[in-house]
Amino acid sequence: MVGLILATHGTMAAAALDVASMFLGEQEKVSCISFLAGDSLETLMDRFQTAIAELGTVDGVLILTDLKGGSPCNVATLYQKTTSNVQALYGFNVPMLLELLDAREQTSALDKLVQAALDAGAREMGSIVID
Amino acid sequence: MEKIGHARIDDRLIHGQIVAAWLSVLRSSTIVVADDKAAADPLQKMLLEMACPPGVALKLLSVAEAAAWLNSPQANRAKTLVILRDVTAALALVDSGVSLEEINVGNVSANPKKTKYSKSVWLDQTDIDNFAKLKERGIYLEVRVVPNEKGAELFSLIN
Repeated sequence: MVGLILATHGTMAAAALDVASMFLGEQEKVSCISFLAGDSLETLMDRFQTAIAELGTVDGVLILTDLKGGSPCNVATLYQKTTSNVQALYGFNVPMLLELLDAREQTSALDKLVQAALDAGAREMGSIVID
Repeated sequence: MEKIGHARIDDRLIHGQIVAAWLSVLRSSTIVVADDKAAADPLQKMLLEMACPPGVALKLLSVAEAAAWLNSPQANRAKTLVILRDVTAALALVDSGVSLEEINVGNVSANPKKTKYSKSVWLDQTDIDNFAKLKERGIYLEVRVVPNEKGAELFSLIN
């Protein structure tokens, strides 16, 4: 199974996983990283190390980050560049996470999972229209 | 010579506070990252290029190159955001002939060997001595993490 790392500013990562578990139950092979005010980049790098170690044996890793250009995304980019079978995404939302938690049960192909996640993320965002 | 739009000390270089907060206020067209280490590191270069938002030009230069570029006619100084990793780089830039009226002290991050002066600024005596040299040159040192908060003069936090 592909491992997921949720890495965000503040505690959004853990909160998003909590939301997902309300729909899909407890999840395995998911680690969360918080990047809080006053944390150094070294601290963030250490948390990535720990998060990857916590995943144990996986068929690749997807890292979901909140903001392109933000430190969690920058460190995820570094991992993607320096580690095989790691893919970083940014701008993640709850529908994207739900889709990934479901889709990784069917496939471990990172490119397919990425496409499914981006499709779901975009498809499930919109404004309510009332006739 | 035209005033430089904004100069900031930030050990995270380009990151969320820059792309999501400062750039929308400053409307900079160019970010100059003046950093000897990053300028010589292809991996850092790639990361900074990824982090720099579309529509904003990135110039990743050594401090000496940055000083030369900022003082050249090509530089649109008013629309430039200069990012420096630490006070040493800031002092080197100023000593290379770049005039600054103000430096924004952003993230000088948590370090167990240093003393905490604000939520984002940790300094040792060498840092303080270097900041004092910048202050002696008439540069206002404003501790401020994001635009939407009140700044404080650095030495008002230290003394």
